[in-house]
Amino acid sequence: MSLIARKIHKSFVSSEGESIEVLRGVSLECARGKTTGLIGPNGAGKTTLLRILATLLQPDQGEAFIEGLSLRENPALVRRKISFLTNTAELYRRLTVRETLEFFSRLHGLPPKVFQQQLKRLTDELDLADFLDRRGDRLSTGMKQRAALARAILHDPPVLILDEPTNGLDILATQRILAFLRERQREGKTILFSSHHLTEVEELSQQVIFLGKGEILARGSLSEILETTGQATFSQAVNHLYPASTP
Amino acid sequence: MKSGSFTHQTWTVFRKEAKEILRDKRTLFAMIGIPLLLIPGLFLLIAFLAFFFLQEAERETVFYALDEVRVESFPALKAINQWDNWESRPLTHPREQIESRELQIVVQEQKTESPENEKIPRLQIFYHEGEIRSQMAAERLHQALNQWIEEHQAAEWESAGLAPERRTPFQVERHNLASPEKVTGGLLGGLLPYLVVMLSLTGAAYAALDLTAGEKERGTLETILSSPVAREALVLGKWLLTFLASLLTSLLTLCSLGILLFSVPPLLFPQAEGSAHFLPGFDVGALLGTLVLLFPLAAFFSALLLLIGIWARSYREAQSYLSPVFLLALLPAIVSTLPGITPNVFLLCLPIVNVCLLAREMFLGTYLWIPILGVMGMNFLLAALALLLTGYFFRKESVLFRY
Repeated sequence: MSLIARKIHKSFVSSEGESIEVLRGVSLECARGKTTGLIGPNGAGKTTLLRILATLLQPDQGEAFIEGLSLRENPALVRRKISFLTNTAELYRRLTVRETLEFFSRLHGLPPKVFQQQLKRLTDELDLADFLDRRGDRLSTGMKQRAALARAILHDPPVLILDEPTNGLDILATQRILAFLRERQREGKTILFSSHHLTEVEELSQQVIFLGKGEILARGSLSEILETTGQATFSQAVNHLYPASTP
Repeated sequence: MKSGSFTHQTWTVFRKEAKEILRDKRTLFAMIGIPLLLIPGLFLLIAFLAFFFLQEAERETVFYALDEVRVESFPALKAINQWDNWESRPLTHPREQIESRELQIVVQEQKTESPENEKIPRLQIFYHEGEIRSQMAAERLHQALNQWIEEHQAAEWESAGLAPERRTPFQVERHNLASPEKVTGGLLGGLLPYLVVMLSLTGAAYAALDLTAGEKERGTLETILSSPVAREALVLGKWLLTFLASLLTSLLTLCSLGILLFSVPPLLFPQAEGSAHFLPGFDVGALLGTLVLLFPLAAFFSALLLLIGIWARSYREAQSYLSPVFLLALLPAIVSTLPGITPNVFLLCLPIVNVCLLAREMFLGTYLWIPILGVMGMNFLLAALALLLTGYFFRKESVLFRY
C-alpha cells in the first residue's frame, strides 16, 4: 500500500472554547498507482484528513504511513514523497509562475538541469507557456490552478494529495486538469483527491470514500458502492448516503 | 428611502459594515479603546515621568565653581553655600568641566563700564545649554540673584533718585559655555535615536505581517509548509528579510536626513559658512554607533512582529495588533528623550529606552562601552528568545491553522 491511515482522530477547539471532533477514527488505504476519490459535504472532515496526510496537522490519535514512512516520525521525508494541492491553490502574488516553480524546485533540492526538464514537461502538459512569466496576481483561476498543480508535482513525487483540484474551474479548465491527472495515473502515481463533482470522482477513481461527520460512511469501487447502497447510479448512492445534504 | 434604490443599497451596505465592525472587538479597541484610554493614559504617563525625572534632576547635587569672584561684592552669592544639594568644586578647565558634566555651572566676575564710565560689577553664569541640570541650576541662580537685587537694593536706590540703569549693584548674565557641538549633540541625541528606533519598527512591521499573516490569509503558507523546507529555515528566512527591512528603513532614513541636513541649509542660506555651521554636533561616529546599537533591537523587533503576524488569523487582525505595539514602543522611546533622564541600571535594562539613552550619550560625546556591550548582549538575547518563540509558533498547528 502506498498510503495507509489507521483510526485517525482529530479535534479542534473553537474560538468559543468548544471542542469539535472533526475526524472520528478514519482508516483508509490507497494502493500504489491507484486513484482514490474523497467525497463528503462541507464540514465532513475531508480537508482536515488531507492536511493530516500532507503532514500539516498531527492526528490526536491514530497513525498514518506514506510509502512506508510514518508521518509522525518522518514528516520531513514524507514531504519529499508527496505533493499537496490546497483547495485555494493560491500562488505568490508578486512572483511569476516561473519564479514560483523555481523557488519550489530549490526547496525540493532539484538540480537546475532537472528543473529545466520538469519545467518544459509541465509547461507542455499543463499549457503554461502563455503565462509562465506572468505574476501570480495577474492570473485567472484556471491559470492559477494549473500553475499550482505544476508547483505541486514539480519534484515528481509518487503520491499526490489534492484538495478539490478543480475547485472553481470552468469546463475546459476542468477537462485539462482531469487529463493531466489521468496521465499521472498512467505513470503509476498514487492519487488521493477530494471533490464535490461526482462525475470527476466517478471518472477518475478506482476507490471512492464517502466521508460524513468525520466518519467513513462507505468505501470501495464504484460497483461495490452501488451494491452496498442498493442504488442504480452513483448520484443515487450519494443521495442515499447523505439523505439530508447532497454534496 | 425607496427599496432597491442606490441610496437604499448604500444604506444597507453601510448598516451591514457597521454591524460587522461593531461586533469586532479588536477594531472597537483600535477605534475607541486606543484614543479614549491608551492615548490619554500614555500622555499622563509621559507627563508623570517627565515630572518625575525633572524632580530627580532637581534633587541631584549641583556642582559649581566660583571663578575669581569677590563674594563680599555679591552678598547674594553667600546664600548658595546653604542651598541643599549645591556643592562647590575646584575649577581647573571651565569648558571641559562643564562639557563633561563634572560641573553644572561656573560663576565668574567681570568688570564692565556703565554708560557714565562707572564700573558696575558683572556676574556671568556659565552653563551647558544641552544639559538640563546645568540649565536648571543656571536658571535658579539667575533668578535668586535678580530677586536679591530687587528685594534689597532696587527700592532704596529708586528712592535715592538714581537713573534706572544705575539702580543695580551688579549685573547678572548667563552664557552657554558648552561648544555648539555639545549642544547640537544633545538635541540630535534626543531626536535621532527615537526616530531611528520607531522607523526600525515601522520598517519591520509591514514586511513581517505580509510574510506571516498575509501568507496565511492567501493560503500560500500551507503550501510551503507541506514542502520539505524545515520550519526553522522558514522562520529564519522570514526573520532575516524582516530584519533587513528594518535596518534598511532606519539606514535609508538616516541617510536621507543626513543628506537633507547637510545639503539643503547651505543651498537655502548660501551666505552661511558651510554645513558645519548648521550641524556642528553631527558626529558620524555617534551615528554609526547608534546603528550598531540598533542591530540587536531590530533583530528583536523583527522576531516579535513575526510572532504577532503568525499568531493573527488574518492580515487585518495582525494590523489591529500593531497599534498597541507601536504605542508600547513609543512610550519608552519618548521616555528616553525626557529632560534630566540619564542612564542607570534600571533604565538600561528596559528595551528601547536603553538603546535611546546610550545613543544620546554617544551624541553627547560619551561612549559608555560596558553598558553598550551589556545592552547589545541583552537585546540579542531578547531577540533570540522571541525568535525561538516564533519558531515554536511555526510548529504549532493551533497557531498556524487558527482561522
